[in-house]
Amino acid sequence: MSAPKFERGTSLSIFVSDRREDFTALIFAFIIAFGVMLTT
Amino acid sequence: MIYTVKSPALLIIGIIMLVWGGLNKSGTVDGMQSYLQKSAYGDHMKVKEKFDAESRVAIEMATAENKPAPEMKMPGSKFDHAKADQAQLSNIFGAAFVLIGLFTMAWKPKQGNLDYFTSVVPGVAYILLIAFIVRWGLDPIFANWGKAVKEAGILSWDFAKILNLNYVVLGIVIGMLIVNVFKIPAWAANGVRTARFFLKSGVILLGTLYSAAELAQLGGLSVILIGIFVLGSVGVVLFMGKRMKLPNSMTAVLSAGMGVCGVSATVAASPVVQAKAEEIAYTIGTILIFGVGCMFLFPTVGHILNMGPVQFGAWAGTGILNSAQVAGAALAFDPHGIETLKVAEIFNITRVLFLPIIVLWLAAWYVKHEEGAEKVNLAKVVVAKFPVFVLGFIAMFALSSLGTFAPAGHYQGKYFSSSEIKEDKLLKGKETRSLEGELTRLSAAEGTQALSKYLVDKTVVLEGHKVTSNETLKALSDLIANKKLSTRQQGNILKSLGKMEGFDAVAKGSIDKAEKAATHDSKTIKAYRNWIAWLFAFGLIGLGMQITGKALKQAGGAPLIIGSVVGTAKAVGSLIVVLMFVKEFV
Amino acid sequence: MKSTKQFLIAIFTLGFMAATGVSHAADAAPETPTTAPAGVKLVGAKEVQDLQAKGAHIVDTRKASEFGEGSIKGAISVPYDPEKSAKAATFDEKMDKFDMSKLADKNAAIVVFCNSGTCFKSYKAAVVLGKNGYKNVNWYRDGVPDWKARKLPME
Repeated sequence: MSAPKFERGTSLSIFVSDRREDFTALIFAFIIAFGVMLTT
Repeated sequence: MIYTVKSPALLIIGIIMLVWGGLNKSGTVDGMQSYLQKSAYGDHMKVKEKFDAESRVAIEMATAENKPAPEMKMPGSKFDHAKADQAQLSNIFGAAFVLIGLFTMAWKPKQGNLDYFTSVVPGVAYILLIAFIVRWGLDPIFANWGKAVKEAGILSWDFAKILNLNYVVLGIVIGMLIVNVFKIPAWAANGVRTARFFLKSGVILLGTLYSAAELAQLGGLSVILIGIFVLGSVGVVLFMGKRMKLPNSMTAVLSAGMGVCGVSATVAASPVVQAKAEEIAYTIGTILIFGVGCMFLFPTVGHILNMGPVQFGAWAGTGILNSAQVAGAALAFDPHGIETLKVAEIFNITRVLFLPIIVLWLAAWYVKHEEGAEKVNLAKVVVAKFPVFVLGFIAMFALSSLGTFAPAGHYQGKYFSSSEIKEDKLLKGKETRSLEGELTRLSAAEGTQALSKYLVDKTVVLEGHKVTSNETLKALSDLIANKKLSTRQQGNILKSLGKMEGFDAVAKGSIDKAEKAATHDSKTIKAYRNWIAWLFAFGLIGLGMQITGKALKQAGGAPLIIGSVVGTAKAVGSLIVVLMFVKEFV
Repeated sequence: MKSTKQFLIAIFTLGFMAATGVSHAADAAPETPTTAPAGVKLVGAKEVQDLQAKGAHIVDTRKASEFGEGSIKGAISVPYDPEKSAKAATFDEKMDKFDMSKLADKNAAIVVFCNSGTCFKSYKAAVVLGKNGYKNVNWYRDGVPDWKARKLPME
């Protein structure tokens, strides 16, 4: 399987950089964390 | 570049999910689900029996009085909830995917953000569908097979548990199967790249499961001991990897796996050192295979050397690389002991705590070695390359320790509380009477002697000192007086007592019941565990899809060699240290 | 084309799983026979009350912990435990353990019970007692859930 060429991100991530991915993951995780906390 | 690939695939996946949701709601797949969700189904049968009995009696009474039979509805069982949960998840995503699927089929994509992010959805749906199959289908099937094989006596152990064939490992295997046997469809290509993102989110949430307060309960010396071995193993692997000229990423992730141990540790460390998927697979494979061998060897050696429970627990917890196998070895060594399992618990928490430290170390190490001989400002580099998501993990861990999500002294959502015990969970008449009987028996001369002998034989130790008969009898009488447990220590003492030979079965059942009543589950943490499980399942399937056979061959046998060498060194080294320094105290 | 093949294989696998599931569901929750085994009498709640009034041994064959949780008032605990044999009308009692030493008198009236239809313990206990020369064995098939539903005395 030849990896399709991606302009953005790498073949391992849709994000432009690792940093961005980390921050988005952080925000995502915190939203889940507080969302769950408030609903249980 | 236009990313969206026109294909009905997303729509089809959405429909499949909706169908599954519908089948669950209508009860059509009950037969299959009764096999897959065995424990939930067991609860269902109990509820059904109770309901059947009640409705039968009600009908009898009604006909006797010439009244019409009353309308009765069966209350919901855990089985019903499990099906409803699956249906809900299936339907929500199914509906979303159907809508987006229809949209992409009708729409003319133009280059830009909308196109980019929409193109991600089919791949996400693809992996999610597989995650459904793995978590709801493959995981229970293997769990059932493991149990059945053990019960049938073909093997004396549960192969699914020991080889850790849960959704985590199965997810990776399925991913690998797909990429090597078939190929990733073009419409899924973009979405499959989200795997690592979801994995990182899962690792951040992992911090909520642990609490520093629990660690405080368990003792400082063991933390130091384990810390030494964790750091030592990491250091040795890094050294050997460099010497054997392995790629830095492979070395680093292997050191995380062998040092901190566990699949989650490996996975957490991987993005920091840009580990390739096949390197992660190698590490996990090495850990699991090596660990299984240790699981059988350790107890045998432990018995030959006549090790005490604390010693063995410390050795197993440090030397064996996977929690399921540590528990397996601990139980194989001493089916009656609590100390061995407790030490295994200590290990689990300590290793999680060391994870951020190790990740930092690896980040710095990796960058330094990647940049080569150039003079690199280490501080600057660390700041620039700092794994931000690890900060998230630490933050969650801190919040958890402060009691934000569950009472501070919790371990993976379970915590001990005497005050929260409800009325109906207190011990009843028959139960306290059986305990009184045992108290009288053990207070008499012969009984006390047997008790003392038992405590010494099994070396029942609690927080640094040997438990005495007086303490045990006091714990027992307190339980009778209060009809519930008051402290964890009391619970631990009585747990050991219950395992004594000749101890009355009803009394033992009462102790177990009191223990269960005092252990509470935090709903919040349970929800987190579920989220983490899904995020990991998703991420690991995607990860597996990046492991091609070619890549595996390229990595060669070097990681296995290093892994085995370090594993053996760790096993032997920790044995020596434990024998020398760990006397029977924690 | 390859993705079509993939989908077909996926559906095939699911079908296979479903088939496995169905075959397992066949014995997912076996029920005890509705007629008493040879030499044993099938009884209901009313008869149990009568027998109890006349001094019969009311025997709870469930695990000791279940007995402690709550049982028929006046019952004694003789657990049929461990129960390793298959849950079927014909079973190999040598795989199980049932301590009959608490029931010394083989002529006395005995009532065995457990947790109703899907629990085989009392059924197996009745069969074993019958085979060992106990003359007056009664099997209260509907067990604890029935007793509870009728609001009869529990302890």
